[in-house]
Amino acid sequence: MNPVSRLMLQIVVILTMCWATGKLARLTGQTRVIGEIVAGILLGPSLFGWLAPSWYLWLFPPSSIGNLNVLSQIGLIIFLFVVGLNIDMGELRRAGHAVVLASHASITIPFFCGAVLCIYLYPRFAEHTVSFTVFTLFIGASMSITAFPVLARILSETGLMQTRLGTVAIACAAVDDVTGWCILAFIVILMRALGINSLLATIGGIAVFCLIMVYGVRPVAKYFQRIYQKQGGLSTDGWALLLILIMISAFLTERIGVHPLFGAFLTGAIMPKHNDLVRYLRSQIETIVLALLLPLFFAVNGLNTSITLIHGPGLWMWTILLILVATVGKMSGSGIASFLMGMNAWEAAGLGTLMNTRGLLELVILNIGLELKIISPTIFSMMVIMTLATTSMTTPVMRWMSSRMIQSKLAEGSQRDATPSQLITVDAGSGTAA
Amino acid sequence: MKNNLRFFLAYIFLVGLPLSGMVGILRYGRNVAAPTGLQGTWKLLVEDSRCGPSGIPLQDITIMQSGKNLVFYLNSMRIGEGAVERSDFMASILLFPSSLPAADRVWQRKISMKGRVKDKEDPKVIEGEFDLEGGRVCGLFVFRALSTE
Repeated sequence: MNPVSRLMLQIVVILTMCWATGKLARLTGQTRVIGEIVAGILLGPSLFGWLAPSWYLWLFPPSSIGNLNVLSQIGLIIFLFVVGLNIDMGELRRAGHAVVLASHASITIPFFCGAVLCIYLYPRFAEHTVSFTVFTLFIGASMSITAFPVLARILSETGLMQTRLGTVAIACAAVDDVTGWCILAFIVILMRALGINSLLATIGGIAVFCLIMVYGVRPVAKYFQRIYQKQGGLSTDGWALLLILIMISAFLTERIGVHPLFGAFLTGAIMPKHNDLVRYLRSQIETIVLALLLPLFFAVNGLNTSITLIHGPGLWMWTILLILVATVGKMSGSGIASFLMGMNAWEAAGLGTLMNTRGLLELVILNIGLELKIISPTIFSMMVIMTLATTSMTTPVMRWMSSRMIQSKLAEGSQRDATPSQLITVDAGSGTAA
Repeated sequence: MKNNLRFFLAYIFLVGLPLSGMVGILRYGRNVAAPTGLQGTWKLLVEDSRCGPSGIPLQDITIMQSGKNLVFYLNSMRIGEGAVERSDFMASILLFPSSLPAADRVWQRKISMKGRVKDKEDPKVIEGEFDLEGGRVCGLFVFRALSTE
């Protein structure tokens, strides 16, 4: 079959599957992303390839995966720009003690828990071409990531977005993402560097790139805000300029030796944070990215995931252990920190649960790890299951907890003679739990 | 003031301590060794047999690796299992050579296989021995396998 026809057919199958499983996920009270991750796994060797290997090889021959991968990578580059766009560095600098402590603890504690687990994982599942340091940093980073976009969606769906909990959770997730991407960039540099000179050149290159972006490109990017304020939107030329900027950044970070997604993320992060502009850019970009390009990424992810690799009770025990360590590390880190800084027990538990949402960004990181051969296909498949488990537990647990949170606030409120809405709604700018 | 002190102490406990622990674990990890990766498809060649034919190309085999455990596949059919320890591995597999006459039924039963991976070479190479007859001289075949990735 003609490669273009095959690609079209693949896209039809992937979009149909993602649409169906996304609907099913929504019906069962889950977010759409859960359905889409499952769709990818079902289309891969774990189910479709296992049930009908000849049909699977006909629809997804190995030679055709490159085309799908390229399309999905373009989608990811634009998606990471949107993730960066949502992050307001100024807000993070103004964040209070609770946010600083909860966000840092929600990185260091899961990172530490992941590192302890690596003492046992490394001799069993790693390859000796990957050093213990790189493997451990990678597992630590993937344990400590929080999916900022999925978290925002869950907060909005559970009505917690404008509460103290919602504000702290969003700020913590933003700090986690920025830190996670920096750690990942460092790991990629370590993996790709061919020697100390190459390592120093890459670190120097990325430092210069960041400086140019912050002090050179950021002031120029205000042009987009001026155009938006004058015209109420971006013209075709404006869009072309923005896409060129995103692609150049992605290209340069790839050439420097990091990863194109880092460049796209940084471009989003340095864009002006005028609320209307951010909302406009998101609404224009997200439609095509969420509806077309990200499902392709989920499919590529699913094609790389082979649950059959996790054969035998021993490997399933390791998978369960991974889920437990990831959950306990993430929940305890942010939960204990926010409790110590003045949140009540339900809110602290809620924050821990929210921070345990890994979603799409975790899959992005895992795919980078697989591509760089930091993790084996077996560990990759185990981590995909961990991502699915931790992300899918968030919405039902949060729904259950939010009613408890309101009850506990009502109890506190009756003591202080105040209304519940006054108590659980805070000034988004303060971001403190005090 | 009290809040600042609480923040400082909590920060030391929740951020400083785990970070120090991480440094310790990374230092300890220098002594931990991982097994060699054998995952992928390998082109097999029997290089030498003490009493029989040599230079026999066999069909490509695929190895799936889960940590130290190996599963061998031939044309998507599971043909055996093994385990790897650092660079050395041992396995018990069933092989069907493409060019041997049907009379050579000896290949169609479980045979043991041991070898060492040389992953500094590009492509990776496995060198080892098939043992068809429990260590008898005529049952030993030296093989070489090249990674196709």
